[in-house]
Amino acid sequence: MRQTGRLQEMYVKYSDKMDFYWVYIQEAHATDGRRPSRTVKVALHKTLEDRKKAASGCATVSPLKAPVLLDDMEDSVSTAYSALPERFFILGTDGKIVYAGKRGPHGIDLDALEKSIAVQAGVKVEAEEK
Amino acid sequence: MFKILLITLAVTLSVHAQRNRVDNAPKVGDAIPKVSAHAKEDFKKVDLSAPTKPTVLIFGSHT
Repeated sequence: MRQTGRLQEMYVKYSDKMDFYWVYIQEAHATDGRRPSRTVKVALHKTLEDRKKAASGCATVSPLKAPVLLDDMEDSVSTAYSALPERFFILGTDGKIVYAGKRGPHGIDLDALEKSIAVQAGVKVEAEEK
Repeated sequence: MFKILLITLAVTLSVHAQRNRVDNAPKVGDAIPKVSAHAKEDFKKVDLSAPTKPTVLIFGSHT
């Protein structure tokens, strides 16, 4: 997952007002998958223990320190959110989705995500400089 | 020449398929899906359907 440095900045800035969860889902480019990553070698998870091991390895090297949750082996959460390979959402306390990002990597818009986080956190958003 | 055409067609179809993958993600204003995930440490279920604080979900993996 990319942009984890910026996500960590948001986590540090807003985690006193909101919950953040990094939901670790199936590998997008597993070594035994259709399009393996050339740089990171992680096999498809066959058990929740495999997923935990992959998530722990990733969390160790990632700047993002938000609490990590694991999707189940049926990929229920990832499927419900069409989240593969990466995606961001904000859930409201009224039971509704308040931010729905586009699917990554090309649809990721961290500026839009941060603006929405700031609104939810009740932080005044400064006008963009032109 | 025929080979090049075939490869071009395969690449074009692949890119088209990627861009048009089914996207059933909830939209702004939709009800939060009733799903739960597992805590990494002890695999306990964490209900994601009824947050008590605004909650940011970051989906991703190492690859």
